[in-house]
Amino acid sequence: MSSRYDAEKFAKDGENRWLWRMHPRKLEAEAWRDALLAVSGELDGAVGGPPEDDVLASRRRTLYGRISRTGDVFATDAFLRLFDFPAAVSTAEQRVTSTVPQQYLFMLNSPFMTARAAALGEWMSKRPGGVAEKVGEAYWRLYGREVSAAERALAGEWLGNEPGAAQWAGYAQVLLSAHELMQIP
Amino acid sequence: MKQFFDHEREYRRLTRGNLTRREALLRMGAGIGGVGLAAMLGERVQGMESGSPLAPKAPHFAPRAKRLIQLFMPGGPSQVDTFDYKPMLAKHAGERPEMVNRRSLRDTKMGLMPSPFGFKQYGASGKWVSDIFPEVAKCVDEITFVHSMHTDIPEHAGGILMTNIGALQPNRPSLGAWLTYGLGAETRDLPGFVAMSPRAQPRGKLANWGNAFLPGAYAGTYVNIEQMKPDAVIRDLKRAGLDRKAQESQLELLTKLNRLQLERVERDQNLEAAIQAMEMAYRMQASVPGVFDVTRESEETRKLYGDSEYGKGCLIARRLIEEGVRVVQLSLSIDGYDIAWDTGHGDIVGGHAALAKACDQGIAALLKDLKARGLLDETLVVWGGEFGRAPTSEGDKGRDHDHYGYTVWMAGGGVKKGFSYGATDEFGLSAVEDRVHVHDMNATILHLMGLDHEKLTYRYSGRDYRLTDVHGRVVHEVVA
Repeated sequence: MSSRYDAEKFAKDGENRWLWRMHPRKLEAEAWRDALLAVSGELDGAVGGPPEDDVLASRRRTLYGRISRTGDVFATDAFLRLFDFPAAVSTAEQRVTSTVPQQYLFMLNSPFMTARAAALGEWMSKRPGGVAEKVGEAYWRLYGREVSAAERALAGEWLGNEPGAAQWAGYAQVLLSAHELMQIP
Repeated sequence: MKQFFDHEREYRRLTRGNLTRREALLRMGAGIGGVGLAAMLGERVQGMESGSPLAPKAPHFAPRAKRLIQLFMPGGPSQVDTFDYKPMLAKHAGERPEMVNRRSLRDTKMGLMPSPFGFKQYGASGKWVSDIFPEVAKCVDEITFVHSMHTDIPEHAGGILMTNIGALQPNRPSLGAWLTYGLGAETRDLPGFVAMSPRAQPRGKLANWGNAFLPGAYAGTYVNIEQMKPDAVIRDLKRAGLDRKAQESQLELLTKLNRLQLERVERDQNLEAAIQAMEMAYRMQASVPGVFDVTRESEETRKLYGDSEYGKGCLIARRLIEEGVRVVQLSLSIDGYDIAWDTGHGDIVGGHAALAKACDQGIAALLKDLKARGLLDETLVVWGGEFGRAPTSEGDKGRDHDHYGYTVWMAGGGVKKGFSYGATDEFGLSAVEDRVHVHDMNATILHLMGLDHEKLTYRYSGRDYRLTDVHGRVVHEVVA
């Protein structure tokens, strides 16, 4: 079931008491990190092998991050904790979902995000066509949908006619940080 | 049925509830996203706070305290070695009278162990305090000691959760999250609730300051103060190689895109919280280094708080509440141990003396400084752990856990000065007089902050939750 908005149903049951749509949810930390690497074209999809102490220095799937059962020991633990992966010190029947400023500091400032943004920006800059076409392709790649007129206009305004690498990277970081990538439709 | 919705209704009114769709869109789009961004870029916009879940909210009744500083002592500090003076222990050393023959975590069979520390009387109230807290001792005339605390289990993980979230199991909102949900915050540049510790986080970590099922905006923000570099207290606080103006334009674009998405999916609480968190993250980059920079304090003030990490934490706590942060939780740790005071099992002398030394001066300084600045009257300071330690010995020099009776003290915002409430038995094991359960303490803290613990509810998973579950008695006797 999709969490997509429907004006008519919303008018009748805005609280979604009768479950006309799925409640909007967020991706889990692992899937979100994998998605960032996948859309920037950097994901190493190799199966098997030793775990990674620091998934932020790795391009492998988050599944291969090493986690500690005695507290946050590895860099991977700290990253996962920031995005609500439960500590493996006790049982967790369910994940809590938190939305805290530090998550956005990660998106805005972390070397991991800026590296993904640079890669995605470079990919966009090399796609054929003008800015509008490149942006349209990125929307399909990241969100699986057509870019809207409003979004295309914003992109055009922000990027200008001949954006350089830094602008592409900056724009790519915004697309990667947008809620839509973290959201389950 | 009428009242218990008050806060939830208020939240829903702001974010989804009784508004028409058009109003809601306007409020969310303009109120949170657009206007928020405008404001963070330096433009003052009247009334923007009304749309924010962290906007200040009216309490249920006139509060005695506007802010809470929780000095959390994980691991269980021993009451009979700190603030609950029991001279009878020396007279009956080595004996095991029937009244102390109660099982705690372990079934210890040892006899009574007198405190290895001396006790002296202090202040006009003549309060007996252990020699390991010489500075706090000088503040006893500001303090209400609650000697009759008791809790449900003598085990750290559950006991800590009970203290901080009012339940033995996780996935309940923390005290600080409830308070921020109930009252909002008085700052737009900092989180409403900040949890700090030097070195180790208290056991249970996130749960101690988590929001659980409350909206994400009420989660505590954890800061490790060990390194004390204002730029590095929070991870990824600074962006290398991008100036502030460039980042502003990036954020403006991100906010616009998120707003378009918000209109598309309509009333997604996660997305509202995300926009808020993103904006706060941006503002934190400028405000956090300042508020955590204790070098901005005078030499005299820094000297007052001392050089210990916890002392600096106390000073930061004061700076945070001055900036309008609602709740600060400052947990003690002197090394990597997440239940610091538990070193009392093996060695009360070494373990407790070192821990008290690490926090004594800072705590006393905080009380004095708050008072000097006229902040103590409206700031509630609560000191204590998840339980105490038994008067009998475990091994030669240590003590086992004691959940039957222990001491918590409160100072400032609306509590009596130089007062002691409740009592343990003559040896200090069990609370026997005017017993105060953790739920009662939490109900009292909410009461002092102007909230009725029975009305502060949130509907989740088919029922209305409270910090105090179905328990809690406000201890009016400690209220000034």
